[in-house]
Amino acid sequence: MKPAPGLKIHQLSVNYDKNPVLWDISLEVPAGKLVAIVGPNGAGKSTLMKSILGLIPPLSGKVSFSGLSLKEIRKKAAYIPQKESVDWDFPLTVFDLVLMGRFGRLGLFKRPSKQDREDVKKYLKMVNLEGFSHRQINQLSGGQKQRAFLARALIQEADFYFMDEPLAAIDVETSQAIIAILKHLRDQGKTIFVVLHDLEIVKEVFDWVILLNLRLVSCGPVSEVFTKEIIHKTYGKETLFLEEAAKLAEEKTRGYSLT
Amino acid sequence: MITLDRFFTDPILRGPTIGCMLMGFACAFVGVLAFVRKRSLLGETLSHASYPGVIVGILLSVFFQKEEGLSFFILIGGSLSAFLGFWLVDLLERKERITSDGSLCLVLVLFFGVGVLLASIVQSSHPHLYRQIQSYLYGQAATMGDSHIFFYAFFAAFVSLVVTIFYKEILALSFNREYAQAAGILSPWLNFLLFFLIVLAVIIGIRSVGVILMSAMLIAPPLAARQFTDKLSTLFLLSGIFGMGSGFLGNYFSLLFSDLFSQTGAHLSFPTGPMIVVVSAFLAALSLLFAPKKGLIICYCRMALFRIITIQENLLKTSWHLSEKGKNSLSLDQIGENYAFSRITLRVFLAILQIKGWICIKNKKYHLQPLGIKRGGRIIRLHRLWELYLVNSLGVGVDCVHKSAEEMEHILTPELEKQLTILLDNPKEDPHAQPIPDSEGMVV
Amino acid sequence: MSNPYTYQDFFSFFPLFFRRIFDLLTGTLSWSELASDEIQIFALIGIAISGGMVGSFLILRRMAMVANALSHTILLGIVLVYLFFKVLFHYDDLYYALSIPALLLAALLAGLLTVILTEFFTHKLKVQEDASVGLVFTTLFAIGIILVTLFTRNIHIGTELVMGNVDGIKRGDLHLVFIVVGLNLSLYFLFFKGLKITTFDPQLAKTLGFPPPVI
Repeated sequence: MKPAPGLKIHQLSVNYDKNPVLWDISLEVPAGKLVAIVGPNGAGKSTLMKSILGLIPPLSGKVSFSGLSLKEIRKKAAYIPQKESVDWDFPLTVFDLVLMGRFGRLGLFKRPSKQDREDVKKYLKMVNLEGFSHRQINQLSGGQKQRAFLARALIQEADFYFMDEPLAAIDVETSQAIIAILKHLRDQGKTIFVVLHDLEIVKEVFDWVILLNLRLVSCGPVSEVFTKEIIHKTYGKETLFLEEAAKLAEEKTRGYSLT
Repeated sequence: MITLDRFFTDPILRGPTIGCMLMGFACAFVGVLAFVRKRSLLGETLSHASYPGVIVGILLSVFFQKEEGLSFFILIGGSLSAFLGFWLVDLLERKERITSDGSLCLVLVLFFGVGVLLASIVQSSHPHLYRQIQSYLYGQAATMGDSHIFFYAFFAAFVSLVVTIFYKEILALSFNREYAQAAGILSPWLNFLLFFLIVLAVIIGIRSVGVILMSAMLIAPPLAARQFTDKLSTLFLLSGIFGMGSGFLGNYFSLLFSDLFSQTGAHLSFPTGPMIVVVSAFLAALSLLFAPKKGLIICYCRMALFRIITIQENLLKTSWHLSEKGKNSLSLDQIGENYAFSRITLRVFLAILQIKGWICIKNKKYHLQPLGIKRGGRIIRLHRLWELYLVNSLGVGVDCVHKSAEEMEHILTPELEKQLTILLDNPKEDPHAQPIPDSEGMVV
Repeated sequence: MSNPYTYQDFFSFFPLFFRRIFDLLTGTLSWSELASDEIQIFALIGIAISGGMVGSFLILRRMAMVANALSHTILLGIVLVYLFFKVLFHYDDLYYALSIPALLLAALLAGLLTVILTEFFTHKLKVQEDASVGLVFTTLFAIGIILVTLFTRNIHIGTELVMGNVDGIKRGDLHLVFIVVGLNLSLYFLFFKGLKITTFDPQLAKTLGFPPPVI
């Protein structure tokens, strides 16, 4: 008995500003899975995630969540961007950072309620950042920053989670704690997408995997699809040719070279 | 001498005073938006980019025979020109490989160059207009009237309202734009609205401080305020207050100094615009040096204090060690043997120790008091606990741990001490087989 | 000395200009007969050469705004130089303050002041770089304006500085312009390796023995 498709992408192509080019991506991922997105550097993993979330306009293609469009599902999708994409000197306490997760739900004119603030405390506890509530965010370690980001996503109480390299540059203890939380979410029926580089963890922890290198190499259950041949296809030398071809295509269509 | 209330009541004085205060408030408020995104130089580029538009505006207003002042045409002209400039900056950054400082500078220079060209043409054809154009270059706060007050008040209120209503969205947008977009917090027009506010603030501001100095009003108040708070909401408020204060004090001092220097004969008028900028920069510098948490001078003071306490504790330790060996009545030379201090310095420090009740002085000899024994013992405890930690838990060689322990003994807090005790299983001996005093400082 | 360009329009300027340059190089025309327009062009070319060289590094180091900053703080430099001449030598005449050697001194002073203050703010006081630069130069400019109003009552210094006045360049000034260009060029070539490496990777530069702050 196959559950309703969680995420369905149909012929997505992206070529915008300085982002890597994505070619004709079509895939289907059932709901309630822990999905890994892997590929070499510059493969377009972040680009894929951003275009799914509507942050980058696609050239063509369609994305649907359980049959609904992104607009309808916005409040039910949580995004954790890369730590490095944010200026941590911003005047913000950990508490306020997590509270930000409720802003989407509140809309334009409502203020955060007492319940919202209680929930912040609850989720801070869940990621083990209880005592850090009033700390300025630039006083956090890499692992603590990631956990704060995670708490902000958790407080959204979404159905879909998108995480861009959450396991990069953090300590082992935080890494294990995050993985435990991800598994817990999956067990509750949420669909979680994680961009990562560590292939060992993919084998141990994840149910589903998307192998990407500017085009879709493969998408399916880890047990079926995470084989030596397919991994080689994703990371191997044959793909270098594709990169050259992609650059050339870009030159011609845009009239100039990006390199 | 002009009394303080005259600044707010006198018809000539109140325009500049209240107008500049409101301008300072609004610009500081708006400046926070650029400051937290690390785009403070945007104000500089915008003000220079508005210059050609301002000139065109002046020409148009003369053409349509409107009165000078905050004329509609100048506002529109300046704003359009600034918008064009910003659009170009955005384009350059997104499409080309020019970094943000390069594109800001390029647009600034380009537009300002065009402006200068226009101005020189006007200089030869309409010399009286040229003076008016110049007044926008350096600002002419002194000629602001009541109409300006109303306009600025309205603008300041508008800015405060926008920021208050859309605070959540502004916070999310400024901190993490992608996240805000993904979570649906961001409305496409909000960014435009914010930018519109910045442009408006710049255009309005150049009337009082001028094109060249404008950006200081967007930078100095937020910078000063940032030293006192880590919350965005407080940052807005404090920044506004600093901006308002700079506006007032700038006016006040310029009048004060004009009076002062005029007494030597000729009448001198101190330019208000630059004075406001200098005051705001001064406030920023003061904040950077003396703010309670992060001020540089305050930090140095804390460092010095820590040093002094360290020296005191070291002297106590020395006395403790000497008394451990049986000597109870210590001379100055015995204590000071391994220190490079002069005798006088030693005496002073030991006097402080006496005040603290750690030692007492009898017949020029120093005796450890019970309090001193206890305190000294605790320091020794911390020292030896730390050595044990380094050797047992981190595998450091026994001969290398002393130096680190010499530092840490002054730093470890009681909570950390408790953790160490548990971690090392309540040890009784250090790596050098010396006894570790208990938590009361007593050797068993 | 009459100016051969006086009655020429825009397009006939160029053939005449290149003819005269050719004459200059072959010896037909002597240096003392150079028209003021030509002097200005040479001076500006020299400035552009220097500017282009230094500017390339500024852009690469993301310090473009520093150039903009320097053009503001130079006002303060000039005022200080003027005061220096006035107090020390009682030269009240602006002629000395605005001559090229004095300007050079002023520029040096301004440059040093700007860079030292900005570094202090960014590294010692831990202020973000954009705010440091913006604050330092506008404040120094403001102080410059205040001093100008105070001591000279002549706002025209400010205007001329902001706009520049090419017509003021004399033949003798050309010497200094090209000395500076030459100096820039030689420093450039001497230190090119160091400049390149500290621009690209300051950490590596430090380990290899090129001290970034000095360079």
